[in-house]
Amino acid sequence: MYGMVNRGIEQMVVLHHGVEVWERIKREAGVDVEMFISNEAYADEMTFQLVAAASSVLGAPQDALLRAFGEHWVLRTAEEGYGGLMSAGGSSLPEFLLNLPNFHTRVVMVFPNLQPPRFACTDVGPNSLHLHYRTHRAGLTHFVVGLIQGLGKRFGTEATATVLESKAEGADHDLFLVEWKSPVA
Amino acid sequence: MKLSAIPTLEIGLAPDQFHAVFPFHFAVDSDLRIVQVGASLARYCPEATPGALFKDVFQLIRPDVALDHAVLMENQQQLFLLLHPASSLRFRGQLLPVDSGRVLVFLVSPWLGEANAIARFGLNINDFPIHDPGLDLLHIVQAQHQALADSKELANRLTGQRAELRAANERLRDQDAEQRKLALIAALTTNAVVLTDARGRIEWVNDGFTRLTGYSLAEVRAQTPGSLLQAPETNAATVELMRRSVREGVGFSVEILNQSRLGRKYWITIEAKPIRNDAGEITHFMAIQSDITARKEDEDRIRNAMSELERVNRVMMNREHRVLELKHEVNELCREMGRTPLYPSAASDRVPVTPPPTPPHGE
Repeated sequence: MYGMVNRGIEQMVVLHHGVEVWERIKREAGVDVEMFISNEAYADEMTFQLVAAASSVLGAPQDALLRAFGEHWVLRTAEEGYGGLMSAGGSSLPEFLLNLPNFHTRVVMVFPNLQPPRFACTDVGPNSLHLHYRTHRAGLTHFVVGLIQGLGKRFGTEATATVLESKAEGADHDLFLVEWKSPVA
Repeated sequence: MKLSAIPTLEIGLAPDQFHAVFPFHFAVDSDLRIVQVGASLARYCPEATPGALFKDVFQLIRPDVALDHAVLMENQQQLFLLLHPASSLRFRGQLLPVDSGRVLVFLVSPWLGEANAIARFGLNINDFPIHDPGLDLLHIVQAQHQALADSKELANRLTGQRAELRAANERLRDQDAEQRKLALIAALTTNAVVLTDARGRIEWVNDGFTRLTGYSLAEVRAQTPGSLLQAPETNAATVELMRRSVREGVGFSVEILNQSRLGRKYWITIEAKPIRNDAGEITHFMAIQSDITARKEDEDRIRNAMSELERVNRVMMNREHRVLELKHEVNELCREMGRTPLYPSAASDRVPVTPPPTPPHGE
Protein backbone atom coordinates (compact mmCIF):
# COMPACT_ATOMS: atom_id res chain seq x y z
CA MET A 1 0.00 0.00 0.00
CA TYR A 2 1.43 3.36 -0.82
CA GLY A 3 2.15 5.86 1.90
CA MET A 4 -0.67 8.24 1.07
CA VAL A 5 -3.23 5.74 2.38
CA ASN A 6 -1.45 5.43 5.73
CA ARG A 7 -0.95 9.18 5.82
CA GLY A 8 -4.67 9.54 5.34
CA ILE A 9 -5.35 7.38 8.39
CA GLU A 10 -2.86 9.47 10.34
CA GLN A 11 -4.44 12.76 9.20
CA MET A 12 -7.93 11.65 10.06
CA VAL A 13 -6.99 10.35 13.53
CA VAL A 14 -4.86 13.41 14.33
CA LEU A 15 -7.58 15.78 13.12
CA HIS A 16 -10.29 14.26 15.30
CA HIS A 17 -8.37 12.80 18.24
CA GLY A 18 -4.95 14.46 18.40
CA VAL A 19 -1.35 13.37 17.98
CA GLU A 20 -1.18 11.38 21.21
CA VAL A 21 -4.00 9.06 20.21
CA TRP A 22 -2.28 8.52 16.87
CA GLU A 23 1.00 7.67 18.57
CA ARG A 24 -0.87 5.20 20.77
CA ILE A 25 -2.45 3.58 17.70
CA LYS A 26 0.94 3.30 16.02
CA ARG A 27 2.39 1.70 19.15
CA GLU A 28 -0.49 -0.73 19.41
CA ALA A 29 -0.16 -1.58 15.71
CA GLY A 30 3.57 -2.10 16.16
CA VAL A 31 4.24 0.46 13.43
CA ASP A 32 7.43 2.42 14.00
CA VAL A 33 7.35 4.83 11.08
CA GLU A 34 7.91 8.50 11.79
CA MET A 35 6.24 9.72 8.62
CA PHE A 36 4.72 7.92 5.65
CA ILE A 37 6.23 8.99 2.35
CA SER A 38 3.32 9.58 -0.04
CA ASN A 39 4.47 7.52 -3.00
CA GLU A 40 6.52 4.91 -1.18
CA ALA A 41 5.16 1.36 -1.07
CA TYR A 42 4.54 0.00 2.44
CA ALA A 43 3.52 -3.50 3.45
CA ASP A 44 -0.25 -3.95 3.21
CA GLU A 45 -0.24 -5.53 6.68
CA MET A 46 0.84 -2.20 8.10
CA THR A 47 -2.35 -0.55 6.89
CA PHE A 48 -4.51 -3.34 8.22
CA GLN A 49 -2.71 -3.26 11.57
CA LEU A 50 -3.23 0.48 11.78
CA VAL A 51 -6.94 0.12 11.02
CA ALA A 52 -7.30 -2.69 13.57
CA ALA A 53 -5.41 -0.71 16.22
CA ALA A 54 -7.44 2.43 15.48
CA SER A 55 -10.60 0.38 15.82
CA SER A 56 -9.56 -0.93 19.23
CA VAL A 57 -8.19 2.39 20.54
CA LEU A 58 -11.13 4.46 19.29
CA GLY A 59 -13.70 1.79 20.08
CA ALA A 60 -15.24 1.98 16.60
CA PRO A 61 -16.05 -0.97 14.33
CA GLN A 62 -13.53 -1.43 11.51
CA ASP A 63 -16.15 -1.19 8.72
CA ALA A 64 -17.44 2.17 9.94
CA LEU A 65 -13.87 3.36 10.41
CA LEU A 66 -12.94 2.36 6.86
CA ARG A 67 -15.97 4.18 5.41
CA ALA A 68 -15.17 7.34 7.39
CA PHE A 69 -11.58 7.01 6.30
CA GLY A 70 -12.57 6.64 2.62
CA GLU A 71 -14.49 9.90 2.80
CA HIS A 72 -11.67 11.69 4.57
CA TRP A 73 -9.16 10.35 2.09
CA VAL A 74 -11.00 11.70 -0.96
CA LEU A 75 -11.94 15.02 0.60
CA ARG A 76 -8.65 15.83 2.32
CA THR A 77 -5.73 13.49 1.71
CA ALA A 78 -6.05 13.00 -2.05
CA GLU A 79 -7.06 16.61 -2.49
CA GLU A 80 -3.73 17.66 -0.95
CA GLY A 81 -1.63 14.88 -2.40
CA TYR A 82 -2.85 15.02 -5.98
CA GLY A 83 -3.60 18.72 -6.05
CA GLY A 84 -4.79 19.79 -9.46
CA LEU A 85 -5.01 16.24 -10.73
CA MET A 86 -8.10 15.68 -8.60
CA SER A 87 -9.95 18.57 -10.17
CA ALA A 88 -8.63 17.53 -13.58
CA GLY A 89 -10.21 14.13 -13.01
CA GLY A 90 -13.66 15.25 -14.01
CA SER A 91 -16.42 17.71 -13.29
CA SER A 92 -18.98 15.18 -12.08
CA LEU A 93 -19.03 11.92 -10.16
CA PRO A 94 -19.59 9.69 -13.21
CA GLU A 95 -17.00 11.57 -15.26
CA PHE A 96 -14.49 11.17 -12.46
CA LEU A 97 -15.20 7.44 -12.13
CA LEU A 98 -14.91 6.98 -15.90
CA ASN A 99 -11.49 8.68 -15.85
CA LEU A 100 -10.32 6.67 -12.83
CA PRO A 101 -8.82 3.76 -14.82
CA ASN A 102 -6.57 6.14 -16.80
CA PHE A 103 -5.61 7.90 -13.59
CA HIS A 104 -4.42 4.64 -12.06
CA THR A 105 -2.64 3.63 -15.26
CA ARG A 106 -0.63 6.85 -15.03
CA VAL A 107 0.15 6.07 -11.37
CA VAL A 108 1.57 2.74 -12.50
CA MET A 109 3.58 4.49 -15.23
CA VAL A 110 5.13 6.95 -12.80
CA PHE A 111 5.53 4.53 -9.88
CA PRO A 112 6.09 1.01 -11.20
CA ASN A 113 6.44 -0.32 -7.64
CA LEU A 114 2.92 0.60 -6.67
CA GLN A 115 0.04 -1.74 -7.27
CA PRO A 116 -3.03 0.45 -7.46
CA PRO A 117 -6.45 -1.14 -7.77
CA ARG A 118 -8.14 -1.44 -11.16
CA PHE A 119 -11.49 0.21 -11.53
CA ALA A 120 -13.86 -0.15 -14.47
CA CYS A 121 -17.30 1.30 -15.15
CA THR A 122 -20.11 -0.50 -16.94
CA ASP A 123 -23.87 -0.06 -17.24
CA VAL A 124 -23.51 3.72 -17.09
CA GLY A 125 -26.92 5.31 -16.70
CA PRO A 126 -28.04 8.88 -15.94
CA ASN A 127 -28.02 8.30 -12.19
CA SER A 128 -26.13 5.06 -11.65
CA LEU A 129 -23.34 2.86 -12.88
CA HIS A 130 -21.65 -0.41 -12.04
CA LEU A 131 -18.20 0.04 -10.60
CA HIS A 132 -15.91 -2.98 -10.82
CA TYR A 133 -13.13 -2.99 -8.25
CA ARG A 134 -10.28 -5.40 -8.80
CA THR A 135 -7.42 -5.69 -6.35
CA HIS A 136 -5.12 -8.29 -4.84
CA ARG A 137 -5.92 -6.80 -1.43
CA ALA A 138 -8.72 -8.02 0.78
CA GLY A 139 -10.76 -6.14 3.31
CA LEU A 140 -10.99 -2.71 1.73
CA THR A 141 -14.56 -2.92 0.41
CA HIS A 142 -15.85 -0.46 2.99
CA PHE A 143 -12.99 1.88 2.23
CA VAL A 144 -14.22 2.03 -1.39
CA VAL A 145 -17.77 2.68 -0.18
CA GLY A 146 -16.37 5.62 1.80
CA LEU A 147 -14.45 6.86 -1.24
CA ILE A 148 -17.64 6.93 -3.32
CA GLN A 149 -19.52 8.79 -0.58
CA GLY A 150 -16.67 11.26 -0.34
CA LEU A 151 -16.64 11.78 -4.10
CA GLY A 152 -20.38 12.44 -3.94
CA LYS A 153 -19.71 15.20 -1.39
CA ARG A 154 -16.88 16.52 -3.54
CA PHE A 155 -19.24 16.92 -6.49
CA GLY A 156 -22.12 18.16 -4.35
CA THR A 157 -24.36 15.17 -4.88
CA GLU A 158 -25.46 12.45 -2.52
CA ALA A 159 -23.84 9.23 -3.68
CA THR A 160 -24.20 5.69 -2.40
CA ALA A 161 -22.32 2.50 -3.19
CA THR A 162 -24.14 -0.80 -2.71
CA VAL A 163 -22.19 -4.02 -2.83
CA LEU A 164 -23.74 -6.22 -5.55
CA GLU A 165 -21.03 -8.84 -5.62
CA SER A 166 -18.31 -9.40 -3.09
CA LYS A 167 -14.96 -11.04 -3.54
CA ALA A 168 -15.04 -11.99 0.13
CA GLU A 169 -18.13 -14.06 -0.65
CA GLY A 170 -16.63 -15.82 -3.61
CA ALA A 171 -17.22 -13.42 -6.51
CA ASP A 172 -14.40 -12.69 -8.97
CA HIS A 173 -14.19 -9.13 -7.72
CA ASP A 174 -16.20 -6.53 -5.80
CA LEU A 175 -19.01 -4.99 -7.83
CA PHE A 176 -20.72 -1.84 -6.59
CA LEU A 177 -23.91 -0.22 -7.73
CA VAL A 178 -23.07 3.46 -7.55
CA GLU A 179 -26.07 5.75 -7.45
CA TRP A 180 -26.20 9.52 -7.28
CA LYS A 181 -28.76 12.23 -7.34
CA SER A 182 -28.33 14.83 -10.02
CA PRO A 183 -26.48 17.74 -8.48
CA VAL A 184 -28.58 20.75 -7.63
CA ALA A 185 -27.60 23.24 -10.30
CA MET B 1 11.88 10.18 -41.00
CA LYS B 2 11.94 7.91 -44.05
CA LEU B 3 10.38 4.51 -44.08
CA SER B 4 12.62 1.78 -45.40
CA ALA B 5 11.71 -0.45 -48.26
CA ILE B 6 9.85 -2.90 -46.01
CA PRO B 7 6.41 -3.37 -47.50
CA THR B 8 3.91 -1.39 -45.51
CA LEU B 9 0.19 -1.53 -45.12
CA GLU B 10 -0.11 2.03 -46.40
CA ILE B 11 -1.65 3.06 -43.09
CA GLY B 12 -3.05 6.55 -43.20
CA LEU B 13 -5.62 8.44 -41.33
CA ALA B 14 -9.01 9.45 -42.50
CA PRO B 15 -9.73 13.14 -41.75
CA ASP B 16 -12.01 12.33 -38.78
CA GLN B 17 -9.38 9.98 -37.34
CA PHE B 18 -6.74 12.68 -37.83
CA HIS B 19 -8.95 15.12 -35.92
CA ALA B 20 -9.47 12.57 -33.17
CA VAL B 21 -5.78 11.95 -32.54
CA PHE B 22 -4.63 15.58 -33.09
CA PRO B 23 -7.44 17.63 -31.57
CA PHE B 24 -5.08 20.58 -30.92
CA HIS B 25 -3.57 20.70 -34.44
CA PHE B 26 -3.88 23.49 -36.93
CA ALA B 27 -2.70 23.90 -40.52
CA VAL B 28 -1.57 26.99 -42.47
CA ASP B 29 -1.02 27.62 -46.13
CA SER B 30 2.12 29.08 -47.70
CA ASP B 31 0.97 32.62 -46.63
CA LEU B 32 0.79 31.25 -43.06
CA ARG B 33 -2.96 31.72 -43.09
CA ILE B 34 -4.86 29.19 -41.03
CA VAL B 35 -6.73 26.66 -43.13
CA GLN B 36 -7.74 23.99 -40.62
CA VAL B 37 -8.18 23.84 -36.81
CA GLY B 38 -8.63 20.86 -34.49
CA ALA B 39 -11.74 20.84 -32.30
CA SER B 40 -9.93 21.13 -28.97
CA LEU B 41 -7.70 23.97 -30.17
CA ALA B 42 -10.74 25.82 -31.44
CA ARG B 43 -12.25 25.61 -27.97
CA TYR B 44 -9.33 27.30 -26.21
CA CYS B 45 -8.16 29.56 -29.07
CA PRO B 46 -11.37 30.84 -30.64
CA GLU B 47 -9.43 33.34 -32.85
CA ALA B 48 -7.81 30.38 -34.61
CA THR B 49 -10.34 30.19 -37.39
CA PRO B 50 -9.72 29.49 -41.07
CA GLY B 51 -8.56 32.68 -42.73
CA ALA B 52 -6.81 34.12 -39.67
CA LEU B 53 -3.06 34.70 -39.90
CA PHE B 54 -0.68 32.62 -37.79
CA LYS B 55 0.94 35.76 -36.35
CA ASP B 56 -2.42 37.20 -35.24
CA VAL B 57 -3.15 34.12 -33.12
CA PHE B 58 0.21 32.68 -32.00
CA GLN B 59 3.73 33.74 -31.22
CA LEU B 60 6.60 31.49 -32.26
CA ILE B 61 8.80 31.05 -29.18
CA ARG B 62 11.06 28.30 -30.53
CA PRO B 63 12.72 27.96 -32.92
CA ASP B 64 13.52 31.65 -32.56
CA VAL B 65 13.30 32.37 -36.31
CA ALA B 66 11.37 34.61 -38.64
CA LEU B 67 7.78 33.70 -39.34
CA ASP B 68 8.31 32.83 -42.95
CA HIS B 69 7.19 29.83 -44.92
CA ALA B 70 10.64 28.99 -46.30
CA VAL B 71 12.30 29.50 -42.91
CA LEU B 72 9.72 27.27 -41.21
CA MET B 73 10.32 24.60 -43.83
CA GLU B 74 14.05 24.75 -43.07
CA ASN B 75 13.32 24.24 -39.36
CA GLN B 76 10.96 21.32 -39.64
CA GLN B 77 13.33 19.13 -37.58
CA GLN B 78 12.99 21.50 -34.61
CA LEU B 79 10.74 21.14 -31.60
CA PHE B 80 8.16 23.90 -31.92
CA LEU B 81 6.97 25.93 -28.94
CA LEU B 82 4.13 28.40 -29.55
CA LEU B 83 2.43 30.89 -27.27
CA HIS B 84 -1.23 31.78 -27.50
CA PRO B 85 -1.03 35.28 -25.91
CA ALA B 86 -4.79 35.62 -25.46
CA SER B 87 -4.86 32.69 -22.97
CA SER B 88 -1.15 32.41 -22.06
CA LEU B 89 -1.41 28.75 -23.07
CA ARG B 90 1.72 27.32 -24.63
CA PHE B 91 1.67 24.61 -27.23
CA ARG B 92 4.49 22.28 -28.14
CA GLY B 93 4.83 19.86 -31.02
CA GLN B 94 5.97 19.21 -34.49
CA LEU B 95 5.75 20.91 -37.86
CA LEU B 96 4.61 18.53 -40.60
CA PRO B 97 4.70 19.86 -44.17
CA VAL B 98 2.22 18.11 -46.45
CA ASP B 99 1.43 18.38 -50.10
CA SER B 100 5.09 19.31 -50.86
CA GLY B 101 4.99 22.04 -48.24
CA ARG B 102 1.99 23.83 -49.66
CA VAL B 103 0.35 23.14 -46.30
CA LEU B 104 2.18 23.24 -42.96
CA VAL B 105 0.47 21.19 -40.25
CA PHE B 106 1.33 22.06 -36.62
CA LEU B 107 0.83 18.85 -34.62
CA VAL B 108 0.79 20.47 -31.19
CA SER B 109 -0.84 20.10 -27.84
CA PRO B 110 -0.85 22.24 -24.66
CA TRP B 111 2.35 22.30 -22.64
CA LEU B 112 1.39 22.31 -18.94
CA GLY B 113 4.11 22.72 -16.36
CA GLU B 114 2.03 21.84 -13.33
CA ALA B 115 -1.08 19.90 -12.38
CA ASN B 116 -2.97 23.04 -11.42
CA ALA B 117 -2.63 24.31 -14.99
CA ILE B 118 -5.58 22.14 -16.06
CA ALA B 119 -7.85 23.97 -13.66
CA ARG B 120 -6.12 27.33 -14.18
CA PHE B 121 -6.64 27.28 -17.95
CA GLY B 122 -10.06 25.69 -17.63
CA LEU B 123 -8.95 22.67 -19.65
CA ASN B 124 -10.93 19.47 -19.76
CA ILE B 125 -8.79 16.35 -19.80
CA ASN B 126 -11.20 14.80 -22.25
CA ASP B 127 -9.92 17.32 -24.79
CA PHE B 128 -6.58 15.53 -24.69
CA PRO B 129 -6.12 12.50 -26.91
CA ILE B 130 -5.20 9.41 -24.92
CA HIS B 131 -1.84 9.02 -26.67
CA ASP B 132 -0.80 12.53 -25.61
CA PRO B 133 1.86 12.24 -22.87
CA GLY B 134 0.99 15.70 -21.57
CA LEU B 135 -1.28 14.38 -18.83
CA ASP B 136 1.20 11.67 -17.92
CA LEU B 137 3.80 14.36 -17.42
CA LEU B 138 1.46 16.15 -15.06
CA HIS B 139 1.48 13.06 -12.87
CA ILE B 140 5.27 13.13 -12.78
CA VAL B 141 5.32 16.82 -11.96
CA GLN B 142 2.71 16.30 -9.26
CA ALA B 143 4.68 13.37 -7.83
CA GLN B 144 7.71 15.63 -7.60
CA HIS B 145 5.69 18.30 -5.85
CA GLN B 146 4.46 15.70 -3.43
CA ALA B 147 7.92 14.33 -2.78
CA LEU B 148 9.13 17.84 -2.12
CA ALA B 149 6.22 18.52 0.21
CA ASP B 150 6.94 15.23 2.02
CA SER B 151 10.61 16.18 2.39
CA LYS B 152 9.68 19.58 3.77
CA GLU B 153 7.27 18.06 6.25
CA LEU B 154 9.80 15.45 7.28
CA ALA B 155 12.42 18.16 7.68
CA ASN B 156 10.00 20.19 9.82
CA ARG B 157 9.20 17.22 12.00
CA LEU B 158 12.89 16.40 12.40
CA THR B 159 13.70 20.00 13.25
CA GLY B 160 10.98 19.99 15.87
CA GLN B 161 12.16 16.70 17.28
CA ARG B 162 15.75 17.88 17.37
CA ALA B 163 14.73 20.91 19.39
CA GLU B 164 12.79 18.66 21.77
CA LEU B 165 15.73 16.29 22.05
CA ARG B 166 18.10 19.15 22.74
CA ALA B 167 15.85 20.47 25.48
CA ALA B 168 15.46 16.99 26.96
CA ASN B 169 19.21 16.54 26.79
CA GLU B 170 19.80 19.75 28.66
CA ARG B 171 17.29 18.73 31.29
CA LEU B 172 19.03 15.39 31.63
CA ARG B 173 22.43 17.05 31.84
CA ASP B 174 21.19 19.36 34.59
CA GLN B 175 19.67 16.43 36.45
CA ASP B 176 22.81 14.42 35.94
CA ALA B 177 25.02 17.21 37.28
CA GLU B 178 22.69 17.60 40.25
CA GLN B 179 22.76 13.88 40.90
CA ARG B 180 26.53 13.76 40.60
CA LYS B 181 26.83 16.54 43.16
CA LEU B 182 24.44 14.77 45.50
CA ALA B 183 26.21 11.45 45.00
CA LEU B 184 29.54 13.12 45.69
CA ILE B 185 28.21 14.74 48.82
CA ALA B 186 26.60 11.50 49.95
CA ALA B 187 29.80 9.56 49.33
CA LEU B 188 32.19 12.01 50.93
CA THR B 189 30.18 13.22 53.88
CA THR B 190 31.27 11.90 57.24
CA ASN B 191 27.61 11.55 58.05
CA ALA B 192 25.84 8.28 57.46
CA VAL B 193 23.25 8.49 54.69
CA VAL B 194 20.49 5.89 54.37
CA LEU B 195 17.99 5.64 51.54
CA THR B 196 15.00 3.41 52.20
CA ASP B 197 11.92 2.57 50.20
CA ALA B 198 8.55 3.97 51.20
CA ARG B 199 8.16 1.27 53.85
CA GLY B 200 11.52 1.93 55.43
CA ARG B 201 13.57 -0.90 53.95
CA ILE B 202 17.14 0.01 53.09
CA GLU B 203 17.98 0.45 49.40
CA TRP B 204 21.26 2.25 49.71
CA VAL B 205 23.74 3.46 52.30
CA ASN B 206 26.92 5.48 51.88
CA ASP B 207 30.44 4.77 53.11
CA GLY B 208 29.81 7.00 56.12
CA PHE B 209 27.12 4.56 57.20
CA THR B 210 29.55 1.67 56.94
CA ARG B 211 32.18 3.57 58.92
CA LEU B 212 29.66 4.40 61.63
CA THR B 213 27.84 1.08 61.93
CA GLY B 214 30.30 -1.47 60.58
CA TYR B 215 27.67 -2.81 58.16
CA SER B 216 28.21 -2.79 54.38
CA LEU B 217 25.43 -2.06 51.89
CA ALA B 218 25.20 -5.74 50.90
CA GLU B 219 24.58 -6.72 54.50
CA VAL B 220 21.84 -4.21 55.21
CA ARG B 221 19.93 -4.05 51.94
CA ALA B 222 16.17 -4.67 52.38
CA GLN B 223 16.41 -4.55 56.18
CA THR B 224 15.07 -1.76 58.37
CA PRO B 225 17.75 0.36 60.07
CA GLY B 226 16.07 0.02 63.48
CA SER B 227 16.14 -3.77 63.52
CA LEU B 228 19.91 -3.67 62.96
CA LEU B 229 21.06 -0.77 65.00
CA GLN B 230 18.86 -0.25 68.02
CA ALA B 231 20.27 -1.25 71.39
CA PRO B 232 18.26 -2.54 74.37
CA GLU B 233 18.80 0.86 76.03
CA THR B 234 17.46 2.76 73.04
CA ASN B 235 14.63 5.06 74.05
CA ALA B 236 11.38 3.30 73.17
CA ALA B 237 9.44 6.53 72.76
CA THR B 238 11.95 7.74 70.18
CA VAL B 239 11.66 4.45 68.28
CA GLU B 240 7.89 4.73 68.27
CA LEU B 241 8.06 8.32 67.01
CA MET B 242 10.21 7.21 64.07
CA ARG B 243 7.93 4.28 63.21
CA ARG B 244 4.85 6.47 63.28
CA SER B 245 6.49 9.13 61.10
CA VAL B 246 7.40 6.58 58.40
CA ARG B 247 3.88 5.15 58.54
CA GLU B 248 2.37 8.60 58.16
CA GLY B 249 4.88 9.68 55.53
CA VAL B 250 6.31 12.64 57.40
CA GLY B 251 9.88 13.60 58.19
CA PHE B 252 11.34 13.46 61.68
CA SER B 253 14.37 14.62 63.61
CA VAL B 254 15.53 12.68 66.70
CA GLU B 255 18.53 11.91 68.87
CA ILE B 256 18.91 8.24 69.55
CA LEU B 257 21.32 5.72 71.01
CA ASN B 258 22.38 2.99 68.56
CA GLN B 259 24.90 0.24 68.60
CA SER B 260 27.34 -0.81 65.90
CA ARG B 261 27.91 -4.26 64.56
CA LEU B 262 30.65 -4.76 67.17
CA GLY B 263 28.37 -3.60 69.98
CA ARG B 264 29.84 -0.10 70.38
CA LYS B 265 27.13 2.26 71.64
CA TYR B 266 26.94 5.64 70.03
CA TRP B 267 24.59 8.59 69.91
CA ILE B 268 23.32 9.98 66.62
CA THR B 269 20.86 12.54 65.38
CA ILE B 270 18.62 11.31 62.59
CA GLU B 271 17.20 13.82 60.13
CA ALA B 272 14.74 11.91 57.89
CA LYS B 273 12.63 13.21 55.02
CA PRO B 274 10.21 11.52 52.59
CA ILE B 275 11.05 11.73 48.84
CA ARG B 276 8.08 12.07 46.50
CA ASN B 277 7.71 11.41 42.77
CA ASP B 278 6.03 13.82 40.30
CA ALA B 279 2.66 12.42 41.27
CA GLY B 280 3.31 13.31 44.90
CA GLU B 281 3.58 9.70 46.05
CA ILE B 282 6.29 8.79 48.54
CA THR B 283 8.86 6.57 46.89
CA HIS B 284 11.72 6.79 49.39
CA PHE B 285 12.88 8.06 52.75
CA MET B 286 16.28 9.62 53.11
CA ALA B 287 17.92 9.82 56.51
CA ILE B 288 21.14 11.55 57.50
CA GLN B 289 22.69 10.30 60.72
CA SER B 290 25.31 12.38 62.52
CA ASP B 291 27.40 10.87 65.27
CA ILE B 292 26.94 13.01 68.39
CA THR B 293 28.57 10.64 70.82
CA ALA B 294 31.44 13.10 71.43
CA ARG B 295 28.96 15.90 72.01
CA LYS B 296 27.00 13.70 74.35
CA GLU B 297 30.21 12.87 76.24
CA ASP B 298 31.16 16.56 76.36
CA GLU B 299 27.71 17.30 77.67
CA ASP B 300 28.17 14.65 80.34
CA ARG B 301 31.56 16.05 81.21
CA ILE B 302 30.20 19.57 81.41
CA ARG B 303 27.30 18.38 83.47
CA ASN B 304 29.70 16.57 85.85
CA ALA B 305 32.00 19.58 86.06
CA MET B 306 29.06 21.83 86.78
CA SER B 307 27.85 19.70 89.65
CA GLU B 308 31.39 19.50 91.08
CA LEU B 309 31.61 23.25 90.84
CA GLU B 310 28.32 23.58 92.58
CA ARG B 311 29.44 21.21 95.32
CA VAL B 312 32.66 23.20 95.89
CA ASN B 313 30.65 26.37 95.83
CA ARG B 314 28.33 24.99 98.43
CA VAL B 315 31.26 24.02 100.64
CA MET B 316 32.80 27.45 100.20
CA MET B 317 29.57 29.19 101.01
CA ASN B 318 29.10 27.03 104.08
CA ARG B 319 32.59 27.92 105.10
CA GLU B 320 31.96 31.65 104.54
CA HIS B 321 28.83 31.34 106.57
CA ARG B 322 30.74 29.69 109.38
CA VAL B 323 33.42 32.47 109.35
CA LEU B 324 30.72 35.11 109.65
CA GLU B 325 29.19 33.18 112.54
CA LEU B 326 32.57 32.95 114.26
CA LYS B 327 33.28 36.66 113.80
CA HIS B 328 29.91 37.39 115.21
CA GLU B 329 30.57 35.15 118.18
CA VAL B 330 33.97 36.78 118.75
CA ASN B 331 32.39 40.24 118.68
CA GLU B 332 29.73 39.06 121.12
CA LEU B 333 32.44 37.80 123.43
CA CYS B 334 34.32 41.13 123.17
CA ARG B 335 31.14 43.02 124.04
CA GLU B 336 30.59 40.73 127.05
CA MET B 337 34.19 41.39 128.13
CA GLY B 338 33.66 45.17 127.72
CA ARG B 339 36.10 45.31 124.90
CA THR B 340 35.84 46.87 121.51
CA PRO B 341 34.59 44.32 119.00
CA LEU B 342 37.44 42.75 117.11
CA TYR B 343 35.56 42.79 113.78
CA PRO B 344 33.74 46.13 113.81
CA SER B 345 32.80 45.83 110.11
CA ALA B 346 30.92 42.69 110.94
CA ALA B 347 29.33 44.18 114.06
CA SER B 348 26.07 45.00 112.40
CA ASP B 349 26.25 41.91 110.21
CA ARG B 350 23.41 39.66 110.58
CA VAL B 351 24.18 36.01 110.41
CA PRO B 352 22.49 34.58 107.32
CA VAL B 353 19.42 32.77 108.41
CA THR B 354 19.32 30.29 105.58
CA PRO B 355 22.14 28.12 104.27
CA PRO B 356 23.02 28.23 100.52
CA PRO B 357 20.63 26.38 98.29
CA THR B 358 21.22 22.74 97.61
CA PRO B 359 21.76 21.70 93.97
CA PRO B 360 18.55 20.81 92.12
CA HIS B 361 19.72 17.34 91.29
CA GLY B 362 20.78 14.81 93.78
CA GLU B 363 24.13 13.92 92.27
